[in-house]
Amino acid sequence: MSDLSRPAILIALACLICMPASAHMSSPGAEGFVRGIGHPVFEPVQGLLAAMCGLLLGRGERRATGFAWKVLLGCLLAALLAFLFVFRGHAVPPLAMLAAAALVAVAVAAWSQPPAWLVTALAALGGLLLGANAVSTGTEGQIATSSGALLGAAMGIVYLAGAALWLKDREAKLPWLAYVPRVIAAWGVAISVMLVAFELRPVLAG
Amino acid sequence: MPGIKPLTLARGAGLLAVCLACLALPVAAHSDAEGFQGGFVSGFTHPLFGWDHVAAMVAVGIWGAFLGRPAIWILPIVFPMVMAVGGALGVLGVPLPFIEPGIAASSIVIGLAILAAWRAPLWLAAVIVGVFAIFHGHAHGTELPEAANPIAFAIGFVLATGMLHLIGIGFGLLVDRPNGKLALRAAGAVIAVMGTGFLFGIV
Repeated sequence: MSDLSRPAILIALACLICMPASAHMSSPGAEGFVRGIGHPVFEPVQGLLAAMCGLLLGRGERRATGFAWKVLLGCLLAALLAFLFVFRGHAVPPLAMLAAAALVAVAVAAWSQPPAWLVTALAALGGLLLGANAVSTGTEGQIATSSGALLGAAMGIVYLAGAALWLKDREAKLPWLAYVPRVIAAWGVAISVMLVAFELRPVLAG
Repeated sequence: MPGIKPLTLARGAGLLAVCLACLALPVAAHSDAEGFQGGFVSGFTHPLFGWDHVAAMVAVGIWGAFLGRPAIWILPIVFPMVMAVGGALGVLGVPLPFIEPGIAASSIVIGLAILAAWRAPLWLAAVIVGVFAIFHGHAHGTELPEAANPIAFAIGFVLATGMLHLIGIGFGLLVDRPNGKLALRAAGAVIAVMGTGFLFGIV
């Protein structure tokens, strides 16, 4: 892991100085794909759930989370395809995304190493919601934009899971590093629970 | 060179990150940048401009450091999680009595705990911090619906709260230094006095 982590850090840092690509966009709809990658950033609810899922998969027991990764990927793709072709025009309410983000964040914050069954169940939930929420509502270039949004969410998960694993590898020397993802997840709980209340406010007010 | 440790790659990467951060250009991607920025700034500054919040958050960090591991990290995990409950009550407009006295009391109680070098059991420290977190959360939550961008407001104030905890933890790490314990107990006394001032409206 340490051999891989060093180039990974440099690549991540190099990404920070990326300039906008001004090469040809020869494929129609490709712009939508690129725009879709930024979806978790433009829609913080998607970003929040993806980030919490990443921390969850990074914190889980490594061998057990192998299955959870497969479940996540399967659910992402299944939900994307289902909302693209079957449940057309339907959207995931932000309340569901936020409630799921709160659940995932609680699991990361409460357990030093969340149990495998919980990681798998929450990965499935996160995958289904993230995949469904990645579907673009516009009709033009919908498949390209949605695919880009799915890739963006997956990248967010991989980055956060990688960061959590990177910290985990160093816990033997610096045990306090184990608490870093849990503190971040506790912040995630605070943000998502308050926004759940914000979404519920008009409903409860009648 | 003899006597000088070579920079590790991690340190080099850290330096590179700082250099790259200096080159960063403003992000112009958001279509609602003003709303998001406005919400984030108002959320971030909300705990920072309220001395009652600042004193209590820093006190939580110091007390955690004073209690040692694992309290040093458990308290900053417990606080935002329970604060969210208070925040949700505030957002939903559920009234909670004694909000301001409760916030002031958090500085007094935790400040006195630091002053007395009280090594409370972890569960009790978590309960004390959690109870006070509800009052702080309620105060933040009441302001959330008025924010320009609620999600940005929530992100801002949670980050600011976490930052204040980290400042407290950083200060609390003095506990291992010569006279560090004395300095921390003095800080606890100052926080408790500030809390008393908040309670009686003097500060």
